Amino acid sequence: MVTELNNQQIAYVEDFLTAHQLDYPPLKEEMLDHICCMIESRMAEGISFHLASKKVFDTFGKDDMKELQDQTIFLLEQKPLTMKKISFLVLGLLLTAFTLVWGMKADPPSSYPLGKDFEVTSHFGMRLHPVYKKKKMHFGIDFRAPVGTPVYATSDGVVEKVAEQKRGYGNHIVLRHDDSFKSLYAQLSEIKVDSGQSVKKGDLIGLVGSSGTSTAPHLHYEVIKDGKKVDPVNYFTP
Amino acid sequence: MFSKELLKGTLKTIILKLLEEKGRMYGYEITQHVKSLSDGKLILTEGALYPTLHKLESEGLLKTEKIFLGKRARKYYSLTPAGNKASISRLKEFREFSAAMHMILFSKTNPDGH
Repeated sequence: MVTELNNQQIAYVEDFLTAHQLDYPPLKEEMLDHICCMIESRMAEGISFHLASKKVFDTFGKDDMKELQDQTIFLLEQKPLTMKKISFLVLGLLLTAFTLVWGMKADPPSSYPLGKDFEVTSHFGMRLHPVYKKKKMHFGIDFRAPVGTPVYATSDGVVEKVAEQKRGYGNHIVLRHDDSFKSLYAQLSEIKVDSGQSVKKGDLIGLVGSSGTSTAPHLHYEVIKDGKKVDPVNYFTP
Repeated sequence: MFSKELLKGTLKTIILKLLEEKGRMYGYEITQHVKSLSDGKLILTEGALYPTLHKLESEGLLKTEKIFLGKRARKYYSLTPAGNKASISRLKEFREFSAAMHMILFSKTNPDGH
């Protein structure tokens, strides 16, 4: 036999919920049905509504209903907060990544390392080497200039290498501009920067000299793109 | 009875799986079903069940419909398509977790755990 509570009995259960401070409507409605079911199932065993409801009510502690409600509301309110936190986090990460990538993306080395007034004495390409007297590839541009002429960074970057050699490049500097581009300044008489230092386009980084394998004061200038030496002329902007 | 901690991590999985099988259920029905399936070993309290049901609904895994029975309203829960996916992935996750726990706790290198 299926027992169903009458309206008066249902109202009695509802009073119990109200007395236990369950006042969040969707939850109250749901718990009303739940407790009615519990009572009905006991009554199906043949006991009176009065006894069944007492037994069911006794299974709940004084604060159980209030805690149930608080917990439900807490979990429901947690969601927008977490979502908000996550979206802020993602936004922050994207912004950081974007700034880093953008920061790394400098212009290719585009200005003249000595300014425009100096004669190019040797271009990029095959040439007869002035010291070895053999046909050799020349991987940069030579500018004729007096010792002490200031040498400027041709784009923003970081000093990747500072070296003092007796032969070859002599005293020289390598700047890293971004993931792709580097520039090299050789045969210097003096170096004005330290390794790891940041430089801006146009900053003084050294002075022209004739150190290394060189016959006369000049600046040997190279542009390196993705590890390959390329003709600097292609990157100079007027 | 099992500890609150054990139940806490598995309650969502239980609810999702039952609804996947039964289609739609209301709260009291879920507690009775869990009780009978576990031979009375697993008792879902209202304090654990309803907050979780409301939470799953707010996450879009469950949808509800209300049936009015005189002065009473009965709220039925059923899976949304997202809930169906969640049920499948949670069951798979629990199966793997259970196997891993078994390996850790009851493997031969740990004779005491036998």
